[in-house]
Amino acid sequence: MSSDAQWSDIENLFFEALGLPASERADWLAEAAHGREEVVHEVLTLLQAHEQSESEARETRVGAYRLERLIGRGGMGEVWLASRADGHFEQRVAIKLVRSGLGADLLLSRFQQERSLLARLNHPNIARLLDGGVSASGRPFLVMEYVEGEPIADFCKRHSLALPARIEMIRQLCGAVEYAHRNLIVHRDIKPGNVLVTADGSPKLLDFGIAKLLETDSAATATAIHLLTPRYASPEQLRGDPVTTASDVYSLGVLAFELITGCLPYELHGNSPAEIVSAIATQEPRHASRTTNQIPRGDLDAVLAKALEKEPAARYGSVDQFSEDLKNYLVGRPVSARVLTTRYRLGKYLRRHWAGAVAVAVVAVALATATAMSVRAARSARLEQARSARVTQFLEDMLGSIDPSWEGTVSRGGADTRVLDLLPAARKQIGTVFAHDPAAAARVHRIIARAYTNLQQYPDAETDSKAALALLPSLEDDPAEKARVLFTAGELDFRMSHRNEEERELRQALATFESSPAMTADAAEHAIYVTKLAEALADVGKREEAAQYADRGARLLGGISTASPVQTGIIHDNLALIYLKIGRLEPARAEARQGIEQLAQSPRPLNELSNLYWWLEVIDRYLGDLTDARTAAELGAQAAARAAGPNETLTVAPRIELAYMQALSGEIPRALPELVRCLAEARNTGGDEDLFHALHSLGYVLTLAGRAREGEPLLREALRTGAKFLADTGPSIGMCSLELGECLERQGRLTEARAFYQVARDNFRNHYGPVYVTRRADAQLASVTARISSGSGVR
Amino acid sequence: MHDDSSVVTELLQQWGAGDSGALEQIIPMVYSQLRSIAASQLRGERPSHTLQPTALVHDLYLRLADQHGGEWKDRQHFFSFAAMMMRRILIDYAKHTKRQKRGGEFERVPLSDDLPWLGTSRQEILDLDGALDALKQADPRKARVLELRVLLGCTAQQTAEILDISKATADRDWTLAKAWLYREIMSPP
Repeated sequence: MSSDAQWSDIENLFFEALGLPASERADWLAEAAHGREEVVHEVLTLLQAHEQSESEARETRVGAYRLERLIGRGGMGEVWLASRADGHFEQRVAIKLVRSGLGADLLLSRFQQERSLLARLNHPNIARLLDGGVSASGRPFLVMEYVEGEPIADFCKRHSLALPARIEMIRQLCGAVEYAHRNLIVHRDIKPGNVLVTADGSPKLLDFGIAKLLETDSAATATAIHLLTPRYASPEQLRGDPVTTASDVYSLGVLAFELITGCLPYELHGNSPAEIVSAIATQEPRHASRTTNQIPRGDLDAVLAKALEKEPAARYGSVDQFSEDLKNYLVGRPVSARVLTTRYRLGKYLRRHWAGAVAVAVVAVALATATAMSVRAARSARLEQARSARVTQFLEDMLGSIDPSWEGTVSRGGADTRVLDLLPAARKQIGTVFAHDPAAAARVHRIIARAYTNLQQYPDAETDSKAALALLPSLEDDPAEKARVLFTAGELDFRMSHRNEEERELRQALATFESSPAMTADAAEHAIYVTKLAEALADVGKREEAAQYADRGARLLGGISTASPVQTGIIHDNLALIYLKIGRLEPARAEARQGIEQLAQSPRPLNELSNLYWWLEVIDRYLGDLTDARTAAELGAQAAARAAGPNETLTVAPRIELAYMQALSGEIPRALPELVRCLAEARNTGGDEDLFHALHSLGYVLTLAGRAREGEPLLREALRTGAKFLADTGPSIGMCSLELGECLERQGRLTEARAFYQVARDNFRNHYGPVYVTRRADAQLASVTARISSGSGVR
Repeated sequence: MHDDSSVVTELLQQWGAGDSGALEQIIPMVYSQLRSIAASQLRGERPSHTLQPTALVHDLYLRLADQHGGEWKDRQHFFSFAAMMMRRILIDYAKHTKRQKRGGEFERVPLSDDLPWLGTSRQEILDLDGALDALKQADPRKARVLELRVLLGCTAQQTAEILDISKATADRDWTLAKAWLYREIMSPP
């Protein structure tokens, strides 16, 4: 290294040379440095390094990729041919460089959420998404498998592909889209430009899942983006309604129509986006056969028309069905598009008037059965039992499906109240209808008890549950039903906080369940029984045993492949809560994450999902991962907003959590007014739980804002409120005490602060062991103790 | 910004005097900066990677908290210390990565948006560490500018304020330090 003086020469020469044209620098330097070769060398190499580093900083590279050639430019940005620049291995890729202004952070967070899903898409007709990130200049980019091919419409034209070959190609695409749908990914932007046909003639669908990543929240931008290529968008997409697999069915329909007929299903008189939007929204799609004399009228018209129905529910239920019908057409079988009209209409009616239809069905069946039973009372008992089995199954299907926690189908207090009105009548008939079949009667009582439980009508549920329990002796031959009756009773006692009964019944339920090898084959149901018992044990403070059962439940759940994501998601959700209750934060976090992964797949917004985010936030916070906690709070608020629906104001709980997390990550000015509003709302309408959260959050955030004196009374009120429903020794009281301790310490009231730190530390340690939050409380306790002994903090 | 700066300085002094709450107040103020630099370091990592951006920031946070009782003269002192901590964490991380034998398949991500040619592979981090030490010998202030800008993601303006130099000087230091780093790392003698 050179001496100080030499270094300062080098610096000055470097900047002077930098001001000169590159070609003149060397000569000038040789003179200016008075022949000191070492200095010349230093400056020249630095200048060269400067030039190289600057040119590399320009967008020749994004992430680990070197951009080679622009291969396309669209509304979203540019597409480049690129290769990995790190020399580890040669891989040609297509890189979509997103136009700046589309929110890099949002795109990235979405990408991270979707990444594992998208990476799982491995299908010969789908171009894979490989990577994503943000370029040096801040533009988000997505890395995709590079496909060398020809746009599908050009390919068909150039090879003069016959109708069957074109339909086969569409069916190949259907296979790819169906595959993606099974993996819970909707394409959202299927159009001819997104399909390339490779040299060997197989179509590849590009940009899977990309549309969702790029979607903006602002309505204006969303419209602008839709307007770029609205020709293939479905009516619901243009309306801004939720996009589902049915939207892909529609877009595939337009694509098929165009490949088959050479024109769009709409008659356009102009080419403006407005015209196209209006055509899609209002025009009945024309018949394919009218646009070309290549195809006869009839079946193919019907198939395409069904895919192009304006109502998503009226289209094919899946891409597979569309594909199947295209095949039916090819081989000359009748197409379902023409057969299923009546069933569709009924289905549509049921969907529209769901709860009402159920109510009608329940009554109809109950009445019909009553009549049938009395008329045929003389018939053999066997026949009768077979019949009641069918009846109860039907009831089970109908009433079981009004479980509001399951798919969120029925909202409380709305249409389902009509179902509720009918249940007492149904109950009264049970004795008569099932006079000769007490086992069936037990089952019906159990089903009704469960429906009431789910609708939170506990006294009614108890009546039926007790009736079912009284009939238990008739179920000796039916351990499955016996287990369910016990489980339903246990679940109800759980909800009603009858702790002792709950534990006993759930233990019996599990023992009965496990007595039958046939039942334990159903791992999902087994996991539910085990988990529920774990929860009961956690509630009565038997933490060790609860942990054992929770671990068993988690293991059972890990082995399930058949259950729906919502089903397994809810069990993960329960497990997360149990682990949280018994203070095992790491497994709680694992379960919460898995639950979220499962529940996020549900097309319906679920309350459980926002709860799970909330728990995850608390867990992350206690484990010291503030950024994760904040993300969870944000996603939780979003999920809660979705579950509440567009016209509902968000409940106060997720808003408090979000604002609290914002404050913890430094956005105090933004969080404070929201917390003030939340507290006012919680005082007016909320229960103690909301009030507790609003009080301690605002109290602590005021403390953080340097307004400890104002925060103190709120934190004290929070402790009083929390004492009504929280354990003195639990973590929530612990956190509130920690916050109050800090509030007092800031005011210089060290001895008081120490007492609260102590409560916090003890509660955390007893409940969670030596995790982050315990260490933090410990550190604060130690620090305040030191301050007290040194007398430094007395002001 | 200047107000902010004096607030931080005051808080640092309080912390130094034993007010543990002061650190809690400082951290949110530098948190977004720490977070963005951490994110840019580890952007693009698979979720399964052991060290995620938040982990990095929290690691830093805990280490800063561990220094409770340390004497903070001012904002500059604090930031220098944070940068040093970040360096140590990165090196720990690089070593950890090697232990896990990720080596070749390790995804190459730029360390900072301003230095797209410098990634976070083990070798690159060790190179950076060595280069920073060497630069500190020749020109401590430029090394500090480099640290603040690369490791903590500070802007030129913030760097100038932290080091109490003019923005022009901060820019000039940055230009030369960058070229110097590029030469040291990309074209070793």
